[in-house]
Amino acid sequence: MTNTALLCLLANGRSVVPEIPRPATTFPPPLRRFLHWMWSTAIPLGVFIGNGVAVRAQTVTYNYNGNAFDSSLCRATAQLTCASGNVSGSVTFNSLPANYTGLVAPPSSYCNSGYAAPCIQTIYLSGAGSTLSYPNSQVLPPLVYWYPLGAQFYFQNGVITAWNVELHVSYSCTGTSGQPDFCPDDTDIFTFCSATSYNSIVGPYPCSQNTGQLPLIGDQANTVIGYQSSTAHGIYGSVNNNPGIWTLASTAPQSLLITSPSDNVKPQSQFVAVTGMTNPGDTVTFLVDGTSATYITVADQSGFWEQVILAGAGAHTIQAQDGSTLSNVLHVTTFPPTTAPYVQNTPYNLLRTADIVLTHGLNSPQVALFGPDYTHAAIFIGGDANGTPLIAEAVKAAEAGALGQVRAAPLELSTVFTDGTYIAFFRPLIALSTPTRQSIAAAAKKYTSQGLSYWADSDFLPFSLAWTMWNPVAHAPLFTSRFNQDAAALLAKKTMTNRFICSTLVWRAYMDGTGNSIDISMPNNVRVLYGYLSPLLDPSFVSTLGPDFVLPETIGLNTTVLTRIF
Amino acid sequence: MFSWKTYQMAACLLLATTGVVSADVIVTPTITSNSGVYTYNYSINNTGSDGIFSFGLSIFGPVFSSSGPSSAGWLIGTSAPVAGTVLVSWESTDVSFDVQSNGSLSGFKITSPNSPGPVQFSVLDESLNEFDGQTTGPVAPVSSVPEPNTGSLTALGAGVSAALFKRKSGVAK
Repeated sequence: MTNTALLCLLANGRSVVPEIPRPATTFPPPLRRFLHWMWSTAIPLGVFIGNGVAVRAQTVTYNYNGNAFDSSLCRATAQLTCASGNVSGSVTFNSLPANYTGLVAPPSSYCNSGYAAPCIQTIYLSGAGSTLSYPNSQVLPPLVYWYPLGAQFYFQNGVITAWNVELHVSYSCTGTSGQPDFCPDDTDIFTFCSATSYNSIVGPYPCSQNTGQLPLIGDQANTVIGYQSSTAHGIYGSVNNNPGIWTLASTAPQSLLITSPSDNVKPQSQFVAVTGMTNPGDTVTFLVDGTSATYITVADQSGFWEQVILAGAGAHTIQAQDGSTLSNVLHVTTFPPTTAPYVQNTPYNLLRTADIVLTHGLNSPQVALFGPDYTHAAIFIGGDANGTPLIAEAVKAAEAGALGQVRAAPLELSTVFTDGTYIAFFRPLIALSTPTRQSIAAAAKKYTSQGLSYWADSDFLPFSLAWTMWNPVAHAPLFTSRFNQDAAALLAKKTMTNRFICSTLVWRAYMDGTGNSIDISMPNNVRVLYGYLSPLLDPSFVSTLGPDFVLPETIGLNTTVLTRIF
Repeated sequence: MFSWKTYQMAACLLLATTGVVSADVIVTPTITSNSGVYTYNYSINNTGSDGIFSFGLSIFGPVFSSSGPSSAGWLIGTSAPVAGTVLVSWESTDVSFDVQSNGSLSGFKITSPNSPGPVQFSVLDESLNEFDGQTTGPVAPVSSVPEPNTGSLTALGAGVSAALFKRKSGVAK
């Protein structure tokens, strides 16, 4: 095992692979606008809230009272029949700051998705004999970009000023980029077109031609209100240009909730990654099987908190506690792998999303080469839908097994757990907001979901070439222009996104997740302390190439950007 | 009566000369054998629009020696970035020595105790486009693969030393 690290060694060049674009959306125009708000407004706003002065969050419920359908505007077809009626319902937001301005939208709109507040705790809508409710309605796991239930609410000073609720049936499929992508066979149940809807695949089409099996509601601007019967296979509804309004029903102090994972899950780990909501800045403790555990975490300024809990094998209950207030009870049945840790009692409970894990790998050849403290790098990306803590890492084919080479591995199946003879946790010196940490984890998830490979042998060629072009006596390149070309090739390897070594995966996730603002590869203080390379490798060669490569040791020695927490 | 040299020549066996095309590059090995030592002589034919400045081979198992094209201006380096693998690389020292567009260059040579098998090659052109492919080269029997923690490291150390030696030769030129 463990050459993972070995190849977290040095390497070679090729042209930079283009960035993989953000996943295409199947959402039609109105929802696209909401998603645009999400990326352009909500996320920056989330960062602002996360870094700004704490704003007391609340649990807020709105009721919806819809107007009667306007049947004259309904586009009936041979298969589709219009019906009269209206829709009513309610939505409850959790961790909603007072006078909030911004969007509550996927992927952060559902409290149990594990994302930061504010979020939709429940939503219920009923009309024309059918209902739509969350959390009862199916919502795909957070790792999937598609949500059968889409709900977006835009707030202006604490008031809902735009909204959109829809349903769409989506299937996990792989696009040309190798990641979840738009599938031609997806069935979207659009809910917000008065006469004509638009789909990027089929182009304009009448709203009423949608097919599906779930009820649908509408939006604030151009609304189709109706539902589709799963038995009659026809849409019964009408177009309504006069939608109803959301009326504030109640506000209450922030609820203490365990929001992820959902109840009765089965983590593939003795650990459970739990997230939840409470009042901003509050201290949260935990009960495991009714007994106080030693874990303590503090909610961020939006009220979001997270904790990795060692539950052990079997059935357990987990409850969060804030002062005298107890959360909902989480029931889990864990099925840990049989792998044994190389190092006992590592405090994985300290891990927070986007924390960097560095290890000294078991028998890593890097040690004999240049004497690094760290030979493997990985990143904690939170829990999956079952609460299984996941480690994003890149390992060589020989170590990969069924999980693949660039993978999100359950903690106990990661080489961090099985091969780390020495383990350390790092995080940025400047505390990151929860949305930023989640953005880093999302970047790592994106790369680890594509079935990518570890670097090929040839990827290490530029380092070898650069060394060939170096004069260790003069501490300078033999042929400067060619050396610079080798350095450029090496940099291209560092930045490529179609193959990774362990350290480039971690570095890339931080670059992507922070908009290139946190570069954990610089300064590159890698040293050649001892080993086979020590009498040969010129320190000035290493420092000259510093910006062009990143090793686990680079990250571990970067005290300018990172701090060690364990 | 055959001289020793003649005997050597007679014993040489041409094993393979099939060229492998990878995008804009054709790599053709010529393989001879003498007393259990195989010599692999590679020719690069550049059909692309940019000059080629480096050529690398990922070899599984030991390499006795390596040498560059008969023309001057190419340096040789070896390293072992992956356990059990030796990366032999050739790089020209200036654009004028590159394998020019629509040109060819031979003499990328290695000797090894191992018989022919599939090996990976990698070529970089002046625009840093990489052309990877498979050609024929020495492949160690599985049983003789060195342990990762010893053999590969030794190979790396030796490889770097070889690179230094060759570098000095290159500088002298």
